Amino acid sequence: MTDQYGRGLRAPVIEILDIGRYTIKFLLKECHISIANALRRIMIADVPTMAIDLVYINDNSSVLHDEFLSHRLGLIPFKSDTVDSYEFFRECSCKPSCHKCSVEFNLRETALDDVKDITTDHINANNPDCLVKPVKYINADGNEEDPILIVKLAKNQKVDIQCIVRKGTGKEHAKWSPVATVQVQQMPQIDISPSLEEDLDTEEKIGLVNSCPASVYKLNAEKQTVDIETITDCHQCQECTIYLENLNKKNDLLKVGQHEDHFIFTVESTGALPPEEIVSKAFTILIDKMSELSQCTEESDAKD
Amino acid sequence: MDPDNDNSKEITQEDAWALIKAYFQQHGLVSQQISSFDRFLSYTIQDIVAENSIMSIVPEKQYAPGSNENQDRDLRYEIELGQVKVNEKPRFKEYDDKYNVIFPNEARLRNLTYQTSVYVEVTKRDKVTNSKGVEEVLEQSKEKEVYIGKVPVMIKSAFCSLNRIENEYEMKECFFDQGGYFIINGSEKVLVAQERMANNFVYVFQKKQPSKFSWVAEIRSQVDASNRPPNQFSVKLYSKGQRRAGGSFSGGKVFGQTICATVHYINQDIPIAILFRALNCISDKEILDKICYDQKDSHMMEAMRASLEEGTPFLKQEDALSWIGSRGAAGAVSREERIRHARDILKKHFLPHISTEDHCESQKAYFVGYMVHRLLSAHLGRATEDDRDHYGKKRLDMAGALLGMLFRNIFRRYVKEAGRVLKNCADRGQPLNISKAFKKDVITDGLRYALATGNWGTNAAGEVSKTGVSQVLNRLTFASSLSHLRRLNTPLQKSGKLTKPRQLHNTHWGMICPAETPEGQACGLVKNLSLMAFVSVGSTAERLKEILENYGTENLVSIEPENIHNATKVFVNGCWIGIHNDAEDLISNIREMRRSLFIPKEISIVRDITNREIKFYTDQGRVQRPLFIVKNNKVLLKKSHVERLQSTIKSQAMDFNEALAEGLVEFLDVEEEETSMIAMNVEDLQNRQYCSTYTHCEIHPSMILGVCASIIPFPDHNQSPRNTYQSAMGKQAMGVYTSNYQLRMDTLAHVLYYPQKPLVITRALDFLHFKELPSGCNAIVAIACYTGYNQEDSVIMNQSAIDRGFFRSAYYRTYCDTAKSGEHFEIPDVTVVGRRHGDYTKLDMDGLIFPGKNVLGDDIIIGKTALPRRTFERDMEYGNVIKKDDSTALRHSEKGIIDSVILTSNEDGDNFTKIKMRAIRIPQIGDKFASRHGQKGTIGMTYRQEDMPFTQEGITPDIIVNPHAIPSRMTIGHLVECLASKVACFQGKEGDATPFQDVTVEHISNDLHSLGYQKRGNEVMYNGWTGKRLDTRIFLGPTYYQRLKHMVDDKIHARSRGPLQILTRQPTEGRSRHGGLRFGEMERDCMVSHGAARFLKERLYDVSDCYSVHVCRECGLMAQANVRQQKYLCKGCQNNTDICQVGLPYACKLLFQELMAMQIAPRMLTND
Repeated sequence: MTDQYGRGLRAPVIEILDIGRYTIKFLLKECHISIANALRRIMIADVPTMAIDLVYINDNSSVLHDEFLSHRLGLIPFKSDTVDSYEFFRECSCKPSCHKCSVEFNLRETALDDVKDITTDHINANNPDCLVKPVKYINADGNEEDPILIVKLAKNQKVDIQCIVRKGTGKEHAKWSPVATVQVQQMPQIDISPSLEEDLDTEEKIGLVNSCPASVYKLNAEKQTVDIETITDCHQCQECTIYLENLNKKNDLLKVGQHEDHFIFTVESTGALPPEEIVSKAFTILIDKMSELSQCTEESDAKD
Repeated sequence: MDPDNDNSKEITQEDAWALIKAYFQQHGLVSQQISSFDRFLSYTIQDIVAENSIMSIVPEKQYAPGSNENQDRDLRYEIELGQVKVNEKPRFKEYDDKYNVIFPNEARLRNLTYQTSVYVEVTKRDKVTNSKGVEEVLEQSKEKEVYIGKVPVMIKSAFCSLNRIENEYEMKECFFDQGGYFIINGSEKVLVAQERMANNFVYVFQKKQPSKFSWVAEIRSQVDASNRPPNQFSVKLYSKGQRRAGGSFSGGKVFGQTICATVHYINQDIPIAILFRALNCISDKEILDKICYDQKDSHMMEAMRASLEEGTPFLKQEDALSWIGSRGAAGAVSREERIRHARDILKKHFLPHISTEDHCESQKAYFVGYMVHRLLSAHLGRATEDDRDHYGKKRLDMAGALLGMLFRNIFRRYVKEAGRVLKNCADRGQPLNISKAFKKDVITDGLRYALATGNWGTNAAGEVSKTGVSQVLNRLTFASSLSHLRRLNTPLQKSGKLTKPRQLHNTHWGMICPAETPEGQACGLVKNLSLMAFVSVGSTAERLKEILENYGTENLVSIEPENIHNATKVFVNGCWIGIHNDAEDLISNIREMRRSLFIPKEISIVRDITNREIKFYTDQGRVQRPLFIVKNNKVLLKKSHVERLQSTIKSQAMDFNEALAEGLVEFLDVEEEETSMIAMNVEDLQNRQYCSTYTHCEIHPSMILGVCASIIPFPDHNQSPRNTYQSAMGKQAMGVYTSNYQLRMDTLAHVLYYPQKPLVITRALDFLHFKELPSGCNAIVAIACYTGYNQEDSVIMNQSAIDRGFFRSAYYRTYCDTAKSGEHFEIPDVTVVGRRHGDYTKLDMDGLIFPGKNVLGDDIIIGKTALPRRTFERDMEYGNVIKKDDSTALRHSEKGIIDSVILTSNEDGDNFTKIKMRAIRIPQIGDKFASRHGQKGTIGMTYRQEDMPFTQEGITPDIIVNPHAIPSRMTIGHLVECLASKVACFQGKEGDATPFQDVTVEHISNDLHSLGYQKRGNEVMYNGWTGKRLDTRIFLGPTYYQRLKHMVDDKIHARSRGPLQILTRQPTEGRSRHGGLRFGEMERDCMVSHGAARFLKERLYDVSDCYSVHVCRECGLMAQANVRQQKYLCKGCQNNTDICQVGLPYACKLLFQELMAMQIAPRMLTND
């Protein structure tokens, strides 16, 4: 028993490989798979952000009908660095809404002479000091990208919309998820038997190298050995072992497996939160959940 | 080598697409409908009027005492209908007499009919026969434009208002709409092409024994494109040992198998020799000359012996004619009369397609001889039985032909009626009022009725002869509309168990889609045209006959019978016109003329070498398709032509017509196709080992498919029924059905939120505008078992994807109502009787709901009141009228938002409103989805992104389908599509999934491998809940999915209590009436076999129509009962004591009372 679960007692280690504006890549070592997956799930579904949740349409003569427009508005990512200062709408004590749980925005545009693109730039906060606002993307060169297009208005068309932004989690609706996706990769482990060098002829070695779609292997022309070039590219497709199997070689020449408690995480943020923030928040939430759980178990133990 | 072969390079299969593109640019997809209609309105209508052009009115002589003026004059009026004039554009006369050009969209919105006026030039001549018996014209007057009625106009035809408009969208039309349909009372109607057996064909059939006859040769003869019912004529060979009934005249001495003929209007079969003699072939030699072209053919001579012997008692033409005449309808009359009658029948009703003029006996005799020749050849085993299902012998009646038939019937009736009115006028001595005699509405209403109901024409007994000819255009998806416009129907008893006509025939190749046909009753009877199939419009044969004569065809009248054997018989439209001595030369000459468009491109030239026949066809309704012309095993279309086809510079560019005129391609119909050698693709031509005498080459084999089957990627990798299933399902997919859907008011419509063009498509889709108006999404699909919520054809869908708008759709429903006289749109107040229990508060001041309003079940959306039937103005003044409510409520199971409201006036000037409701449909458990391979399934579960299995790259599937859906259905195309889509996706290119090309799975796999993925598309995935690796690798990739119109929200239904039917007091039926669920026969049987009697009684009685009656125990009939006062009485028996109560279903009580009403007394005898 202790063997299986006792492993969790080891102290996990995080090693950050790369941090970008929208992505973070880190290594989680010495950690049980359940913790790693919990982290992934929390980042997708439990880290709160802000998004438009309620839309009042005063006027809409655009080609998109009201529901279409509201749906599009809802999916716009909002800068949510200050989420923690807001309450969840349902947990807030206020009656209809208050500044603690909601932020108001408006979108009032008319196309006067030509086709007009209505973008996230046209969404204005009622309170200009508000820190919650639609995300402005910055590309790799550091330049601002085009804002997100909401609808195109033809001449004389008009939209007059009031939006209420609220705090929520991806569990309720995907628009509140702070990440596009979280990649989790278990660290691959490839054991090349030293006898492979002799058992395969050159042609077969080239075949082995080519069998891998991710080009993990490299043929060392001098030594006539098959080396591993980029082990992290391996996606466990087992094409290499299948190749060897088809050659009817001994099956212990090559072993492709995974390191059970090494994980490479890549978190892609939607822009609502900085990626490192998402990760650290996810940890906080995980700890909260754990303590909640332990509290519950203690309580139930006490009852027994 | 061919000397005039230019230096330009040979084409490849790829180059064929340039030509295909040119073809569709010129023809579109509904040209068969439009060209047929144009011919109807420009020519046929004039022909029909000319057929019935002259009306002769002879006034009844009136005795007028005193005035003996004009008494001896034979006055006769002659009315001649001349030039027809059709208005160029449809116009509409408003109720206030304003006359406007209307456009299709207005007609659709206002429930008008899109039709144009037809005028005829009428000449009236007053004629008098003078004393010498010569007619003189007394007076002549001409009325230029007499209005005779309105004819519905096909959208985008030559007479459509859109014809002169540059941008369709300015007139609120869909940018991609192809027309080809009509608008009748606001609804779009398609005339579905009707398939029939061709006329004027000789068919030889073997009769199934035992039967009187062993072989029969028959022909349905009809004058070119006339509407007279075809005259059946058949030549029959008796079975061995069969004596003809009542054949006493030959004394029963003839041995062997004789031949007889059945002629229309003659009641008895005519021995063939008698028929020949009646046609002036007197001697046996003359008869044999017509039949056995080879004098040395002793077998055939021998086969004729018995028949000739049978004819020996009738050696003169008069005798034969008299024999025939006495068996006609005339009956017992003088010999001269009989002969005249027989002559008349033989002239007018016997093989009329040859001629109905005088002196045509010899031609007809030759033709009968030819038929006997065919019959005997079959009998002698030299030829086989004809194939009834051969597609060359089928004709398609398109919109124009169908309208022609209808118009001819109506017009004939119309002229007759006009004649009657004029005659009445003339009899009374009044001047003839022409504009009054020609009624305004007969033609208009007649055509409109047929188009609105689909009841096509009536027969003599006034019964509807064909139904379902006109159908409401299917507007679910753009492809479904297109497919509907290219549909064919075979009017055959759908119950008939004969399978032959339903099966795919070899000759359907390239003409009829092999996949697209419905399942079930209409399977194989309803067909669809292949993409490049084209239906001939028809042209006259006269010019062709002239040309043939000039090129040395010897007319039948002037030839020696001995020459026939060594010459080639020439037929035009099934009529034998002569012989020719150099078939090769004639054929190549005429073919050259067609290839240079000197004669119409659609004339077909068939050379039957074995039978020494050349057949030409010019009639309408033949299915044709274009093919490359091949000479010396080389396609004539060269690279230089392809460049011209692709060129955007006007002066250099070549269109399809030019390609026809330059003799690079030509149209072949099924008959001609059979005499050609067609290579499957350009590469095959190089392979001379197989064949070096190709005459044509397929443009592209994928063109054999129809509209719906062209959507399927890699159909050549699927099991064939799957393609059929998809062809049916593609019509239920949601998409953008037309680009002007916001401006239309369709009763029901679905529009997909974010439609995508498929990652992998067939080349043909370019021409179907599928990329512009698609009907689905590229979903990331995993084929996996995951939690088990995708068993039995259900799928798991990603809830997060749904949140982000995946397969969201809008649903529109339009309600409409008219305020006829006495009715008003207003908010019905409390004084109005018969108010519904819905919510009236949502109505606006004008009695109509307003856009943007949220509505749900039973809300009133149109408020309308009606005055009682007999209301006088006086009542109105005193205000003592009680109005009745006649409002429209929203369907009780629906909810949504009012999208738009229109209020306008209809044809009669009545107020008329249409209200469009909109609802958003978000995918949920129970909604139906399908890939493009007949793989349909409903959502069994939705999981959020974090619960879905994921790959190393963090990819989660949108849809998980169960692997069990694959092996038994063998939809390999589905897998190949997924693989190709994956490649296309990573390469950022469109994948090519056109069938019959040499893309292999290995190709695609290698591409995928080089892109860094497992080459078969498998990926390692991890469980979403535990994070553990799944044991198997999962096949994952994008696949195009369609959302089908069947959704749980439209189906969900339950009832505990609810409405009852008035008559039987049983629960109502159907969801829309909040009905009960039927406990049917099979359920009943089940309960019976379980012995669950009490349960059965509960279902069938207690919860259905439970009722009780009081029965008189003396007579056993129902008695009067007043339960409250405890008084019971049987009036008949005067019994008020011996009465008991019986429980029985109300339906049973009803039956008893109905029986009593028809003098049957059902007595209920009760025991204690």
